Amino acid sequence: MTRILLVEDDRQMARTLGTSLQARGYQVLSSLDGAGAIGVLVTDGADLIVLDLGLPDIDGLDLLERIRTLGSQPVIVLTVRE
Amino acid sequence: LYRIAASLLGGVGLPVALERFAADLTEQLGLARCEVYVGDAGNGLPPIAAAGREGPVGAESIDLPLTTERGEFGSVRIVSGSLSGFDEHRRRMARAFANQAALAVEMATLADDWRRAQAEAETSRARAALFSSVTHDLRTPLSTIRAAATSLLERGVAFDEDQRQGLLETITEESDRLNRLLTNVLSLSRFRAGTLTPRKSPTAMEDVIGVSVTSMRRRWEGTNIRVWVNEDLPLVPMDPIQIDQVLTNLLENALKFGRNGDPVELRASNEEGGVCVSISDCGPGIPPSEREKVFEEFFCHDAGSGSAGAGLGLAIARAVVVAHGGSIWIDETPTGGAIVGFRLPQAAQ
Repeated sequence: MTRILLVEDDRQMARTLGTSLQARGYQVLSSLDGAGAIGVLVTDGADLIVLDLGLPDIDGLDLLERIRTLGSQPVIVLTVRE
Repeated sequence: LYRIAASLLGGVGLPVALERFAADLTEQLGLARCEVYVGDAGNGLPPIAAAGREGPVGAESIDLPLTTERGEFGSVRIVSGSLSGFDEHRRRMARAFANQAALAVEMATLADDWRRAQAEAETSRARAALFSSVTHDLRTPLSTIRAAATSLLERGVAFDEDQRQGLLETITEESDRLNRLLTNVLSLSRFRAGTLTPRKSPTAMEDVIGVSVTSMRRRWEGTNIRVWVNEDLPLVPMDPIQIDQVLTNLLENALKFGRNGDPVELRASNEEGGVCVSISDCGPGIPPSEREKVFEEFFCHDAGSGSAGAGLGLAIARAVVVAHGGSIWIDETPTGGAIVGFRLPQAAQ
């Protein structure tokens, strides 16, 4: 089953995206912050990452750079900022 | 000449500075009277400043223009103290005084213009900050509502009953969140306009706390809010709806900036003839240098967080508490988290 890592600190948005992806048959791993996301990537790995840029512990773009040092899976970036 | 410049630059205001100028000129030149007019000469307006008394009958009087590079903006009328009139030396001195006064007035006008321009820039900066932060805070719940609604509308996706229910709940809760943000923005503008006065009635603080905490627990599922309320809290005159807004804003901050899973603690106790409520979290805290600033509108403490709000919550909390005759403060817990407390007096204000 395709595994998606969802990195989103807004709980409601995380829940909504998680539900929608699960209903489409994906396995969803969730993290509310950057440190948790790195932990999930190291231990479980993911086929695709959905990344919100506004995170409580690290700038989303810095996290993206760290993700790139760990693998080359596709990343979908989310932001409400312009 | 030095004194008038110093008076004006010292910020005493133009009328006071010109009164001093008139008094000085009267004394230095031995005048009977000195009057300073602003605007066109002979416009019938009384002098803006004057010193001395009526001169002797037939005493000589001279009108000296107050002129700068930007033109003539007024005049000084001097009346000789003796019937012998003004000699050339005193005329020259009077003109020098008038020129200096004109320069000083121009400087004061420029300073006024500059202050006005600064205030306008400040207002437009605040408007831009409001626009950008409110836009961000509106968009977050709006995006979630849209994501949930479009998911539900999509054909061919098999949501089970729990998932469907969850998405519908999200839409409802995020609509409430939008409503709270708009209420905050509206409250702030009413407080600024002075039209949101608390409707105070003796109220049990524990009842208001109960309502706020229950609603927060429902919204922030799985969070740990611990509550300690003294049993013998007195009734306090308050507007329960406004105090609920304060508690909601403070709890929301504590949950947002505290680390996930760590408890948020709310304590209410009797203190100094009133009731004191404090809310603490286990987050990174607020450094002392920012503890006053966080109560300003649109100030968002940057805890490395992209989830900072519009910067309205604490500004409104302070406005409400102050309107109740109380005080609000921020400090740190022994473990370095933030603790925000407010005190409402028991005696009616």
